[in-house]
Amino acid sequence: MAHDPPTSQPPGNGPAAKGNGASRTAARRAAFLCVFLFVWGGGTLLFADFLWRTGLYGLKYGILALQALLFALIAFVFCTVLFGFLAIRLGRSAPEKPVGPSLATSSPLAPTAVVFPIHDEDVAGVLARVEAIWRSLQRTGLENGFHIFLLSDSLEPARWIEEEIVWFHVARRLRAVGHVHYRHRPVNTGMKAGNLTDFLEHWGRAYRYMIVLDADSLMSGGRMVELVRRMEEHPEIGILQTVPGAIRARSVYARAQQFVIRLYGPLVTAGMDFWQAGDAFYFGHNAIVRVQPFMAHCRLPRLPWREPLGGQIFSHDFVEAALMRRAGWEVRVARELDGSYEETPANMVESLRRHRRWCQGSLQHFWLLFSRELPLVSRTHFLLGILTYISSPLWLLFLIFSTLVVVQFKNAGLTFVATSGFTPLANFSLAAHGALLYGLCLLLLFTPRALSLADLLCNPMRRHLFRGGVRTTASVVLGSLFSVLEAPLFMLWHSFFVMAMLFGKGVAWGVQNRAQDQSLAWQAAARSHGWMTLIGVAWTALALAVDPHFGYSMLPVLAPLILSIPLNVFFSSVPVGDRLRRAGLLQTPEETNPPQEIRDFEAAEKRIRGRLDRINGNAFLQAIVEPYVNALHGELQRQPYATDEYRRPPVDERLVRQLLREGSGALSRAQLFDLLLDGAACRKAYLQLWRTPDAELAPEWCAAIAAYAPNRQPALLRED
Amino acid sequence: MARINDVIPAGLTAEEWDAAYRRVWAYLTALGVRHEFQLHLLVQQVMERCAVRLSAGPAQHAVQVATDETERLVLDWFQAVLGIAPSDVAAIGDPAQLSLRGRLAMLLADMPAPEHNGIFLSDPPWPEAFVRLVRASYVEAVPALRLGQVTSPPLALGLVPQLADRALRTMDRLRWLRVLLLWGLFAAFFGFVFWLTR
Repeated sequence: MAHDPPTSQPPGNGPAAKGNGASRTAARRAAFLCVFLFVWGGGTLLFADFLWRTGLYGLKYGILALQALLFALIAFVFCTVLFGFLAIRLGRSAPEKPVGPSLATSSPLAPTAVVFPIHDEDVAGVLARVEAIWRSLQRTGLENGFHIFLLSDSLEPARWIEEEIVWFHVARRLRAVGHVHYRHRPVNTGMKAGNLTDFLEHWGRAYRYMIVLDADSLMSGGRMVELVRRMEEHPEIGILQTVPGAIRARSVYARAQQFVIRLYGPLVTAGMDFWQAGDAFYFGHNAIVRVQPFMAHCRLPRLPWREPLGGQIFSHDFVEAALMRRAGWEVRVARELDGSYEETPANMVESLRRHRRWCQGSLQHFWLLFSRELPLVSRTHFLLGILTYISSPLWLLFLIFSTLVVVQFKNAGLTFVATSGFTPLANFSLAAHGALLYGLCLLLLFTPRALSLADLLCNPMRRHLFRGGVRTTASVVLGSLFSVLEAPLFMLWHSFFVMAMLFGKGVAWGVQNRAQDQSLAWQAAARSHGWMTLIGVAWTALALAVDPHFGYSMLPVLAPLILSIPLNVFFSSVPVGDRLRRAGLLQTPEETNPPQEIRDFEAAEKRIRGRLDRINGNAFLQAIVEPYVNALHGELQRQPYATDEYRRPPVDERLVRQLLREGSGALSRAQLFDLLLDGAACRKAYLQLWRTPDAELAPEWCAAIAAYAPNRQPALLRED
Repeated sequence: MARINDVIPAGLTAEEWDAAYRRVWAYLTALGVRHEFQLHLLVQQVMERCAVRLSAGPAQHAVQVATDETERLVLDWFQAVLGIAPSDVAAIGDPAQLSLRGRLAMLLADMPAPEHNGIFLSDPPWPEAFVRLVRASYVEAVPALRLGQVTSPPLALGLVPQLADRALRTMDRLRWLRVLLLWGLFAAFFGFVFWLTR
């Protein structure tokens, strides 16, 4: 295979999509736009006519404007899935330059770094993924081309030590110490994007490709090899994104999400792929990146003004894709590749935390909409991201305006008189007109699901993996019901996020709870959703008081608000989720036929959790009391990386004395962190601890030393 | 059997001596000495050295002296196994550094793995394979650095963001203007709703 020399310039002249390919892409975009405009324009006109028939005035102009905006989003999703369905069924899903199957070859691969940026994550989960990936790579026989990097930004001292312990354990167990690396960054400059930038600036030049994974990502070795080969065969591609399937969900909510992603995902991606071609999106994980152009073109700009609306970019992935495109490199989606996975949040509360970050990141992209240097498609991605969140307050406003119109009408005491519509040929009655509008909305909202189901039913293999047509149909109905119940809750939450951000209340780069086996307690649900119940009750009372018919028509929106607390508890329920699984509902192919990587991951996770259970108390203590953990930590602080600008002045010896005398609880997290950063101080603390009589030590140290009774050795690092 | 007080150095209580004994035991256990008979022998050896030092008068706590003696025993053994000449030990300077290096070598050689059990802190000669393994071991947490820069050509955002940035920064400076605009927006919104509902 001919390897192009590494370069920061794309092959050929400038942007890759040129010539016939470019005209085909333009034709596809034109076709998509025409259908979209037809659906959007038709629906909006129908609605405008409906309003006009009962008198278009004041508030109704506002409603019409909002409807036009919101209907655009629905029409866009509908068209995307429609084109995706047609592309798949007609076998024209591949863009003009297919990122098709690569040549099967056993030649050595270009050096590739597999990076896991982590920030106070569940250590067992992350390292179990590393182990499963490495074993999967070993099965390909091409593991020598890969280096796995755990890029830790952890700030919790105990978590940091756990990471070191488990990294060493896993790397030694896999006999991959030179291939599975661990780096801890003491300063979290630039959040996740900064973590990756730091990696690239220290080791990037040693690799041609970088496969970026999230803490909850999993990818098969075969797919990694495939990604590298495709990048070698298509030197014009800068980023190749896979479409990760969701796995390991247990709660009702997570299972529904997992099912939706797995069933509808292929059509949505195919639809997007139809018009995006080489201008695709980048999720920031489960993707392969060509390192050199990325380093040459993808340093994130600083946005105008300040956080949360401006300043440092929060959601880096779309921006990096746009910068790559600006430099002429393609960003593509390898949508037909399986073996790429991620996990979904276990409940709505966790999901909302994630959405709040995404909301902030997406709204920040507003500043980039006006840059003519960025491709139009990339700016369309930004716009879609913004609309995803802005649409919620717009829906809310739409509903408020609708309520006000009814109130206004009732107070006016007028009689309802409808004029004729704009289509004399059809000559609808007002009721028929309304039913037509309602039907159109339902059609647009539910057709994507119906098409996804139809696509599945046409494919016997997929049908089998989803546990058959009947169960899948039942699952689609169930999933749709859940979506209807969730939608009003998300509407209010997103509206809150948008307003909070506009008033300068941003979110910090927090730690994510990715545990899949925790149901939400009633108290937690009440704390987070109590206000929503109050709004729901008040709104329903108002609507019913004004006009019972209107009140009943609003119930699909208002009832979920009233029931938000029990709904949250129900959606987060793991036992119910397990029962659904046993019934074969919301089933995904990875559950029907778990791939080897998932089985390896689950076995490794169980084993690593058992090892972490051996830690006697806080893992931080082990860095001081356990001779080998102390040695390992001290050595890691001497690694070449630790000699750069992140170095801090040595800690005061008084701090060590205080630590031993009063215990780790007497020191702040920052002080413990600084102590761990100072390898020499840790060595001294270790010797000092063992030399100090019990009477002068804090009880936790006495307990830690007493744990070393014969035959009770907590072998944290050694193999059993 | 000797009476307890015959074993304890003068000036020390049984509790102090016991605390030192337990600490040595715990430390050697933490280091990975698994065989109880070996532990007994080593603890006895350390306590004898400790007794000699303390017989001159307990200037330090027995636990401190006992741990120092244990550490000395361990460091001497590390030095011998790792083949570090006395002059190099002096060059290392900080005994804590030698201790770390020794523990790290043991860890990387999978000490005390069952097949090596009994070798740790034992007298020479040691199996050649073991010595080779210990001396060759090192941790490579990260590969060699290949420094570079992540860059990007400047990105022109356009006129609208420029003007918006300038306006927002001006408002940041002039708080009264910001407050005025905010209230103005509120008033405009409610005015608009009032107009719509007429």
